[in-house]
Amino acid sequence: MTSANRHSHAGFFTLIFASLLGGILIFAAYLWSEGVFESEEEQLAKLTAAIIPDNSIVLDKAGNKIGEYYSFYHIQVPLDKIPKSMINALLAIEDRKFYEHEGVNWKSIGRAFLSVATSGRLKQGGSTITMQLVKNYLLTREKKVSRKLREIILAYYVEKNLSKERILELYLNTMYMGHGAYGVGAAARVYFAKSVEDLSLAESALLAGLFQAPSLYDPHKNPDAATKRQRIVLEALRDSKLATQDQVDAAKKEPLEFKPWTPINETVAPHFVAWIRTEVEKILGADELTLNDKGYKITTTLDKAYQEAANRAVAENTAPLLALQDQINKKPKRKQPERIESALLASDPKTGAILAMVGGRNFRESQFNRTISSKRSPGSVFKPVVFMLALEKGMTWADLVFVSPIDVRGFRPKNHKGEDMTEVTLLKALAKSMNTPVVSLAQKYGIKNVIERGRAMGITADMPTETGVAIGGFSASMKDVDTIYRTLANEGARTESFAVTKIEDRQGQILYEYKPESNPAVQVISPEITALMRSGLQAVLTSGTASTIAGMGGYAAGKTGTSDDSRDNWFSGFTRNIVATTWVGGDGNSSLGEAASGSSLALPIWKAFIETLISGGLPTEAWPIPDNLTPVTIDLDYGTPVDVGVTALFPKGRLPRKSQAADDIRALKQDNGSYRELKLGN
Amino acid sequence: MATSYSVFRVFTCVLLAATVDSCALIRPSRSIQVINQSGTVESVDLTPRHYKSIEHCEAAIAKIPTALEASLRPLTDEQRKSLRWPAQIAGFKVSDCRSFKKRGQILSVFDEIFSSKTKRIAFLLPPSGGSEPALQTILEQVRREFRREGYNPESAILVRRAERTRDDALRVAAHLVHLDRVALIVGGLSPEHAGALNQISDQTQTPVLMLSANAPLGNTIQSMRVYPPLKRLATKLVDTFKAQGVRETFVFYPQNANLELFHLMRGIPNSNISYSERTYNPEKSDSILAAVKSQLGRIGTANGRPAVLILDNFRMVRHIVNIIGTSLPGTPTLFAGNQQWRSPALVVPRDDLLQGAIFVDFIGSYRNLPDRIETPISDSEFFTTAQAASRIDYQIIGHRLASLSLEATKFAISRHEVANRLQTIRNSWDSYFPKAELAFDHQRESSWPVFMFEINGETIREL
Repeated sequence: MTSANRHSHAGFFTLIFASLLGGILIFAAYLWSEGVFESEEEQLAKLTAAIIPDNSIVLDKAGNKIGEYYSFYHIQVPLDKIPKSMINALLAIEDRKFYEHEGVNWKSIGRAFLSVATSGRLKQGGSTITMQLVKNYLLTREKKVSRKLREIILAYYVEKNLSKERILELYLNTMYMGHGAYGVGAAARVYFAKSVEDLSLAESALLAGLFQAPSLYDPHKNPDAATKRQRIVLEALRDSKLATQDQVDAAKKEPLEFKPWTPINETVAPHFVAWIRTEVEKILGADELTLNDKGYKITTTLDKAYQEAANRAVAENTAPLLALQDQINKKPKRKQPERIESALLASDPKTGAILAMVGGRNFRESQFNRTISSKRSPGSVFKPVVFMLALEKGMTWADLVFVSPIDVRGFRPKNHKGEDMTEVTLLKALAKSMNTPVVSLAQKYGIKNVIERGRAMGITADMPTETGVAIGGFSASMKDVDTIYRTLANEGARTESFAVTKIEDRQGQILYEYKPESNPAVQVISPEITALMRSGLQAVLTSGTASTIAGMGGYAAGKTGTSDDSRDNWFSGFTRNIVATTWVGGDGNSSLGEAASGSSLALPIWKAFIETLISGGLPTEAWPIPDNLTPVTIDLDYGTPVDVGVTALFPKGRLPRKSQAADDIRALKQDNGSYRELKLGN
Repeated sequence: MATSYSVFRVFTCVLLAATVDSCALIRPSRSIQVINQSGTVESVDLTPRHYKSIEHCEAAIAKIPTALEASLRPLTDEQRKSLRWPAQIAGFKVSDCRSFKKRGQILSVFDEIFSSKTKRIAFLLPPSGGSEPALQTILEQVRREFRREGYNPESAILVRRAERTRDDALRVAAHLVHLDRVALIVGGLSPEHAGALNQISDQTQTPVLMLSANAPLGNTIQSMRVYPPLKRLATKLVDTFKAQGVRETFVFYPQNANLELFHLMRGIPNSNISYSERTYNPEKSDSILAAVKSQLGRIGTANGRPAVLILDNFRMVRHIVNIIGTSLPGTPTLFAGNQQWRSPALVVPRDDLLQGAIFVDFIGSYRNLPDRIETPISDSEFFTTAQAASRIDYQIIGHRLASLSLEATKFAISRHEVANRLQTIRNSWDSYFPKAELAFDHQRESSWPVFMFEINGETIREL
């Protein structure tokens, strides 16, 4: 070889080397410009110190989850709670060498490149679980070599810094699984309506198949494809010896039952959960975005068993409402369809804690919370305020009141059965929910006093200084109405209703805790008057408009309410341990017809609710009788003591007695009104 | 017999000379009233001292037979034939009066005709109707009191029914007078009956006691009324209204109400009170409300203190007051009424609107009623039981009828003597009725006590 040849060869190699070096430098510069060599520490911190988004959850008073706030649906599950079958299925289909590689499976990557080279498209992914986690958690989804390289580099670093278990836990809890669900916990709920801990091998295999393409294998939309994919996962389990042939065969035979996902927010106490968000925001001053996904634990006063009883009571009594709704909507010339709704609110008489809340009969169809946001005419459920005033002024249940046809500046209250020219006891006027005596009493004792007592007992809504207020002619929320009855149930001491008892962040730090001393009971009626009133409300059950639940009269008290034209139909009642208010009406405020009333529509819901609670152990104990009161059985029409009649409480100093006044009225009615008329002649 | 009885009367008078009234009561008087041809009433004296008076005998012959004969017309021929005197008086001539003997015979026949010679009384009643329970109560009381005085009520008290026509009432009345020879007749429960009784009374000088508030009394003194004293009650109310500054009165009453009291009030001259009335159907609340509502505006703007007069029972009073009070709180209305208000139910439970309300009644304390009337006392002496209240009203009327009848017929021999005595006797034997007052006033209305009550808390008090 000549020196010239040697020079020419050397120049060639130098050129090649320079070119390669230049290329490498240019590629390195490109990678540098793409950020491939940026600090891994910074990126890694996102994972190692990652706060994985988690739903803020709402708990009932016993700690049962009843709702959650999230932007994307998560259910965080620690790895040790995830079934082995789920983990195995994941490993079998996504990364069999997970425990062997250090973040990158070069063989798989090589296969992937080969696949691209030979077929022109990527048949196999080649990414390990770690790489997928990095891609999903730290990188964008763009398909560039630089991103792939960064994925590899970061995967390597993740493996160096996180344990295999933590990587698995992060992966299983953060990967998108379709239908807005992130992680296997959420997916188990979304597709099988169960907790991930309860998944079978067959179900785990199905979920593991979703990691690759959740939309393509969506079990709800494409069950065949999902099942086919499940088969592949099961076979991968067998091939990777993570399951036996028998287990796989059994799993294949297991029928998969895909259940439509109903978020917990829509199942247990949807209106309550939605309302709690605003309550928490009021307490913390937080906005919706910050409450979502924060992993707060919000403990509430709700009793899940009570809530379920309330849900059932409303649901069981929906059919008549729908029939009524059809009837109303069939009426000619109706412009907007009416929606007949029902609602229930229950609270603890002693504390004011809300125990159950049903804001409407179908949350999906209508999220409007009628227990809180709706203001309707309370009708006759407000009347006890007037009767209480009469009792305070010295009347007793045996006193006769004259049910006269009255007209106050054009306001002409009428009684349900048209009785507007008769005499009844104060007790009967309450029990039968007569209107005109109440208006007369309110006029007698002063509308302003009625309003003042109404406010003291719990009405926060505006009450006009008009006669109609006495029979509930104003708008109030169910919460207000419930407070009135809670006051009566709590020996005359008013408590404010509340629902949030504690708010903790995800680290367990208490952000808020309810202090009973911040909601002291305010004595607004004397215990004696309250006891008198309560005994009258018991008579409503035993002998009045709520006599369909007469059997409960020994331990429950309450009042029906029907506003003008039966637009609002109420029942509010209580035992020693619970207060509950039910309402039925049209969102469009339509008349529900003459047959509709508080006793026909709202009372059955209340009855079903309380009966369920009683069968679940709610005590049915009678109230103790204050020393200065005594029960007396009276004739409901005339107020005289009788052996068989209606029992109510009376002050010991003013016991009912045989009344000449009552005898005279009775005699007058029986004698056709000719008392001392001197019928002689003509 | 008549002579011996006269001797007895004189003897008794001498014996009881100290009691002037007694003597006056039993002093024989045979003055009878007859209607002359011009329709005015004349008195014909048939006392023995005039037996020798030719003029009176002639006057009797000229005037009495015509009326008597007219009273016989409703009777059947057979009934007329059973009487001797029609034939006798048909044969009387004016010239017979000139003979002392014949004059004595003529006047003796007349005396015989006008004398019942019985202490029997009669009730002329319509067929059973709405007033029947009240009438039975009255009858029972009368019978009881007759029995107590030693009479057999079966024979001493006749009860006869007549259709509500004047003719039938006349027929029965004529029978009672001429054939049954009763001393007096109680009745007048319908205009037809009242007219018939007044007619027979005029024709036969038979005393008649009207039971109805608005039955017209006849022209003669024999026609009287035994009924609670509406005129006195009316006067008492109007006087109180005036004292309270009432200028306008709003009157409410049910359909078919007895409005005699109201009419009497309105008829009181110079009261300076205007009346505005509304009626209602007590069975229909809308009717009551409409009646009251129609007056509310005027009550609220009345000149002076408005009075609301409610002529209905306590129950309706409470309802009407309730309506007014609910609609017009604060209006100082004076509520007023009659005996129908009287019940504990008017005041129990207390109604502030009724405080100071007034009502009139012919019964005061139930403790002071005649002892012949069983009177249960309720919570206070001013109230009795519901079952007794109406009964007592009718028993008082029955008691009044019985005691007047017994007193009037005690010594009387002829019907016109009975009538005369009814006009002159005084309430000396009965503590309930106003003492020493004539049993009938100059308008021939039975004199009753009158009481005014005011509502005070949960009771009433006598003003």
